[in-house]
Amino acid sequence: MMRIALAWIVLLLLFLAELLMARGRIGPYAPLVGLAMIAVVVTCFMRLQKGSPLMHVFALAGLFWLCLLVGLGSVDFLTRTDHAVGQELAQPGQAQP
Amino acid sequence: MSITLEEARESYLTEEGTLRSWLLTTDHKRIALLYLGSTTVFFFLGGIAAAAMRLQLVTPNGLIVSNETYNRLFTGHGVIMVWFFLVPVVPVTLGNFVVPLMIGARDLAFPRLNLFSWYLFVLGGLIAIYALFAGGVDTGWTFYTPLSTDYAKGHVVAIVLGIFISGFSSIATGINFIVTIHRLRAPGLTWYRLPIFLWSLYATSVIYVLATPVLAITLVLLAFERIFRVGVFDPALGGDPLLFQHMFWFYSHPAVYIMILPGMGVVSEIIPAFSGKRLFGYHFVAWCSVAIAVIGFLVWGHHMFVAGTSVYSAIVFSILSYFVAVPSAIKVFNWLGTMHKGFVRFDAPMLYALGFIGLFTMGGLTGLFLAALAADVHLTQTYFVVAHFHYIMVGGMVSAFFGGLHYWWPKITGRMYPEMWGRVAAIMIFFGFNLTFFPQFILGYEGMPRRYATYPPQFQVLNVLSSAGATILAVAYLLPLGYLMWSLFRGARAPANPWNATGLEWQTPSPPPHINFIVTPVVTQPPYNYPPPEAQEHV
Amino acid sequence: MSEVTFQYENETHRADTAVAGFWLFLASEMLFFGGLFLVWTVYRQIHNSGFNQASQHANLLIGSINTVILFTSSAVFAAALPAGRRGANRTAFWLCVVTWLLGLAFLLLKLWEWKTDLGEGLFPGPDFSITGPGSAGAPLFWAFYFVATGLHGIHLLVGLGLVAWIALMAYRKQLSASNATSLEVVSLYWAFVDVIWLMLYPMIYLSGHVG
Repeated sequence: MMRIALAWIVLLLLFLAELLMARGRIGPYAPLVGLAMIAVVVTCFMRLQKGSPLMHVFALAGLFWLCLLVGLGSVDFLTRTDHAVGQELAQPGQAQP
Repeated sequence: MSITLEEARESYLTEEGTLRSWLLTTDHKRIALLYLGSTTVFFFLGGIAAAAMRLQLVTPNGLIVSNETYNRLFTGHGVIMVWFFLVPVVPVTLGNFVVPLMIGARDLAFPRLNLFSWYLFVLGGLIAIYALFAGGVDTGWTFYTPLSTDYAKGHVVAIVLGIFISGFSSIATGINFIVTIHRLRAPGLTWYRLPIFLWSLYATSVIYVLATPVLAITLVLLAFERIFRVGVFDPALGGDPLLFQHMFWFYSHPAVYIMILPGMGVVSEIIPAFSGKRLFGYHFVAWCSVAIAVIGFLVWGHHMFVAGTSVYSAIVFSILSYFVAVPSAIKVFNWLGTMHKGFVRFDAPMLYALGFIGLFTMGGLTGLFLAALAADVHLTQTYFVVAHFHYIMVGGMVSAFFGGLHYWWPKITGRMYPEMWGRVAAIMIFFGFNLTFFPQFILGYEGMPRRYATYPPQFQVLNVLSSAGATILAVAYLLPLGYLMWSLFRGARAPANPWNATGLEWQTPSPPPHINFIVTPVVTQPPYNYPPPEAQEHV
Repeated sequence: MSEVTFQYENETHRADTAVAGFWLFLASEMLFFGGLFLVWTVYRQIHNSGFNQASQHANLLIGSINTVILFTSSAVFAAALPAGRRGANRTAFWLCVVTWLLGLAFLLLKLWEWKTDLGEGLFPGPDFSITGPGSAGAPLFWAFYFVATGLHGIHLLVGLGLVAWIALMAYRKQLSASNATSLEVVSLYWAFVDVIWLMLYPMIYLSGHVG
């Protein structure tokens, strides 16, 4: 009971921090606080760490594959040398490899 | 749970025969048969589409259908064969039946989820069939945007809904197998004593669980864009159609490993049994199954080499695609090593397995041509690609499925199939297949594009050869339908272990009782525990 | 259940197996929403300015209130699990009810938010209201928004059904130390719905308020 109440307070504080950060100069790092909130939910409410090793494997596998999807999926878009339709800052002089 | 000997002697087939007991069963063996029935129907539907296509291509100007109809035919053929036959078939028919038996359990971890998965599959399939018969879809099974979202006139949303629903059937099956293999192994059945079929199904299930959801979200986004006429792939809004292709292939490439891994697992069971010899390099074969599944997630970009991705991304995917070939090759060498100095029997399952090795190897090697960027520019979207994947999917996978079906037929039905007909069909399939698809390698190399209802006249001879092969193949596929059905009524009664094979599934009667094992087996031997060749007495 | 229990060494083995299986299902859900995450990540990079502008039109007040509502409901339902395991069915029942009401509040606020979004011309299409320099890609943001919050809402709706089912079990005094697996699985599901929202919140509401 105490654990849950404490976790809720931490979540509230993290949430306020996230909001304040977003308005301030360290805005781009606000989502990291979001990750911290998720960590609180996973450990204090879902209690993953108390589960069997098998559960840890499953959860970590999901996370790992998610990173593969977003990471490897972004490689194309990060390495393009042409520019997307709609962006007005196209550089006409750029040579194609 | 106690049980009388009489109850135990009843097989899962003969106990209660009402329709209700079949449609509400949670027995993995009955569910496997439900799936067998439905996947067979889909196989023949997809086959009819293929037959129509091959008939069309007998003449350069097209023999029987219009361009538009042809587009619908190859879309229907692709959708049905991929999602309603190849992706499910071996895991849900042979896997569902054999996994608890091989593991020494009485059922899968979640029997009711298993039944639910069959209903999802059937529902998805019915919706997809409705879409195809209500006028069809002409986008190709790959649904590339913006054709599928903005321009195609057809039942895209319906067919995509059918695929979406059947995807949950896959995820459910995957969860069931993974948890079962982790948790329900008989005493003494350590990981390294598991038959390779289970390692393969485990690897397949990982792909089911982790790749299928990405297809699901992709199809949702596709449907959204089609219904609301705006979406995330729309170039007019600044969107990128290639994003669809990335997301689609993130699933669809691992999907081809979903299709082939179980087949490799089946072959890994058949070869030791019919060589009377331990599987060569067991650990390698086991971990190569895992490696294929994992690396298979990293190569999807090779479907997009000419689509407009960055060249750096293409290079990365090309290199990774070469890596994925390695574990498959290792397996092939291990199968050959198993047969070497073994006492090889050429029963039907073995003929199918041998056909698999040859045809899969051809298909796999030609994949390497396609993985090379420069060669792919010339070969992509031609019949070379079509031949490549049919060698693996049909020459490989369907042969493996038939091999497994024949291998476990005595266990499933309690009857032996007629051996002569089995061999005739296997050989006919091998020759018919090669005649159908080998000319397509040449056609593709010479530049004939895929998905066209007509072609330049210089390609006619090879097309006619291919269509002739398809006729032989069609007959060859109908043969097992005939003699397997016949065997249900007139086949010889099968003993518990007709092949003298190792494995827990052969320690129980053919067909097994509802509870599989009267006494939980205890495993103390390594897998494929055949005596060494010198110790065997050869007839 | 007897058909199933014979395969397990004991009740704990069976409960653990069900929960492990559910985590595997959650892994698949991570990949499902992960696809949306890829869409957002890619377009945020390509259309940085458009996404910033688009996000500024998101209703930060409702979004923030909803975030607090949802993690509060997560906490409340997390308390129901030890209660159910203790056999304190009455406590568990009321915790389920509070969770359910908080979840309903979230959905109603969300529907209200959608109504205001649509009223402001934020559904992509010919009447889209964010135009002008630097707005390229804004419609993509809003297309993403409606799909993501729609899918999340559907998951929440399913969650409401599941929580109601557990509430019914608690009402019938069926929860106990040996009969808490369903409760455990539903509490995982509910917390996961919260996790997804905690990912979506900064993606939707904080992209544009970067100072």
